[in-house]
Amino acid sequence: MKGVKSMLRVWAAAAATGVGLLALAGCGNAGVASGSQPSSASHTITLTYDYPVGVSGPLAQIMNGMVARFNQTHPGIHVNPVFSGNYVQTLAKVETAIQSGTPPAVAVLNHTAVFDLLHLNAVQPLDSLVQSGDFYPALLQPKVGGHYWSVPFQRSTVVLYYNKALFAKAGLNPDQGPSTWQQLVQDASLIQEKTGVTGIEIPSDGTVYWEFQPFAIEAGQNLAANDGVTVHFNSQAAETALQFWVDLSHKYHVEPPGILPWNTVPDDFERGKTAMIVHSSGSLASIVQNASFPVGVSFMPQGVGQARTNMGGGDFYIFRGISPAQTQAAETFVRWMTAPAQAAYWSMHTGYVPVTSQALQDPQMQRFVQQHPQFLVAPEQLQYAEPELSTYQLNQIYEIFDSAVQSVLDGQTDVKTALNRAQQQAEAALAPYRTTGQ
Amino acid sequence: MAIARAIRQVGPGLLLAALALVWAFPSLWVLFATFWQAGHFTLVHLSQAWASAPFGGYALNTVEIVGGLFFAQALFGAAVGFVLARYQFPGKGLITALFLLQIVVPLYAVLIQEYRIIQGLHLLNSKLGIMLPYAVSGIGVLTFRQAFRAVPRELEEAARLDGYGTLGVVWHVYLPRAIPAALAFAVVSVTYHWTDFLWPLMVTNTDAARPIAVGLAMLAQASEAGLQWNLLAAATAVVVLPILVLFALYHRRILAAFTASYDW
Repeated sequence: MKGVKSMLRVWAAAAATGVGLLALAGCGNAGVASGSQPSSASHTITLTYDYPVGVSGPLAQIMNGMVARFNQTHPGIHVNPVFSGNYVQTLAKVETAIQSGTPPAVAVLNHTAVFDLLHLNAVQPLDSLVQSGDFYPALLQPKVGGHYWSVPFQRSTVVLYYNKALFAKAGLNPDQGPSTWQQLVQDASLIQEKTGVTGIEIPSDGTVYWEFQPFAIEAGQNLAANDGVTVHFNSQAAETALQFWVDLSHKYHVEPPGILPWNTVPDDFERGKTAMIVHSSGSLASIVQNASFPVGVSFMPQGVGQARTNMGGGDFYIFRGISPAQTQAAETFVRWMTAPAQAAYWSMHTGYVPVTSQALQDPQMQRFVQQHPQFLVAPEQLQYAEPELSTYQLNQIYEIFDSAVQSVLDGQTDVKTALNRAQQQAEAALAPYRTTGQ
Repeated sequence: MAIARAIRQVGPGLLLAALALVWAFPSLWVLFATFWQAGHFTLVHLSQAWASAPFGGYALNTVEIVGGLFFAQALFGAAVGFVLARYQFPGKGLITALFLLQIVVPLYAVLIQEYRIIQGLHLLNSKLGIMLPYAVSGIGVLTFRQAFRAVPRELEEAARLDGYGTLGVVWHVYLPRAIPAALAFAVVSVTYHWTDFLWPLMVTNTDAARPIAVGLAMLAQASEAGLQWNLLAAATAVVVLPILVLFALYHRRILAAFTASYDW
């Protein structure tokens, strides 16, 4: 019966542990519940603030530090910062909370989420906050239904990175990246010929539309109008741009064929396996840190018109369903977070573009850009930037376009067929939103 | 002849070793990228990752959640499993099917409904709120049911002759023989909940209640910039090393229990 006795002891121990755990869990819960009661400080307004992390690194801690400083300097308001995963997960968390009647007061979500948030009637217009803020105009596009619905906070652009050492080795001017598509091909071929290193890599997984948009814009037309229901997936411009992508691999042989992963392209560049890459301006800090050669950053080379680019990133939203006092407190918080000192601090610690020219003029920021002049490319580029692809049913629309581009790069479909099909599918998905209006 | 015999003796081993290497490669890569840089052993990435998220508190929360859940799942699993294994009653097939259904329908299919229930019980932001939807496990019930069915009836009859009631029989005859099944189920339960991410992220807002997978997610995002592979690997190591070490220590018992319990 020894086995039974030891068994008894095991179960008794397990039972004790379990009861203890339940008690602990209960205590923890009770603590949280009492903490959120207004009685503790009768005039303190509490705000829940959901934020995503979009780049790797200790961003959550930087964010928590900034919010702690806000709380210290603003008696009467207490903001609870809640890390909520990546952009997609944060949107899911916010939508779940909204549908359960307990929206957060503030959240950082993709700028492009605006149509789906308006469809849920979830957000408040922020016109006065935006107009008093001196933001770069490009960051505020598009205005939807005559209002601004979000305040720019963490934004990035698409830029071209190039290896100055390889440019010099191939006899090219290392102070300047290629300025046209044609020159891009020439430089890439020359570098391949002289050094044996791959000419260029453009990522084509994950958010393919994002890296593709600058090329389409430069070829003459963005991928969408700004009304949430109109897309231009099979325009002449999109066709020209996609054909250029195909040609880079199959006609000019300066890019490896097939799908190139977003996450390994910077890696290849840092290791000197490719002379140029197209990537987010947000990757600058880690690329400069990891590369053993001088890193050049330049505008996207121009197509038929002038050099253009595309923007990405997240904005502050304030939600409906909170009290007027909370709305006011939330506006105070957002105004503080996007004020020059904070915007500059966030920009320097994350690599995002400073959202106002005042933030760029901040003394610390000025010292920072003197040490890292490449950092100025993204803000200079903003005047040539166009809005990121944004519609209703956004994830489905992205999926439709991205898989069309990938099917072409994989050699399964030709350019025209793929883009025409994507246009049809997108129009079908957006049809319900056309009739109901915006 | 000799060569043929040598191939026959060594060949299967080599093949298995190669297969094992394929399976182990991601884990080995994580360790390599964490501890090795430019030809040197380094702890820089690990300390950087550790400092980037409150991993210590998260790890304690995870142990509580995973331990508490296993306790609850084993308790309910054994009770329900015993009834399903040894009693005949109308509707038994339907009840068994309901537990199967729980395996087929994941929590995430009914996320908003679950969220509202937890909200209604005022359990948002608590470890109990994370645990409650998982407290009864279909896999747990079916595992114990299977283990109890394998116990010979004669043992139960002998115990009853000795004067034991139903509770006594369960305690002295059935439960001791379900230890391997419980251990095998523990592996399934613990590994699942150790890495569960989205549900805990949804229902909690404070560090006091959040598990370790949330800490990993803080470092694993790269939608707007390239990934820092070493940092990601180090954070992954922080999350999986405890489990890997546990498995390495007890792998014989775990594998034996696993093969004995899940041969249905």
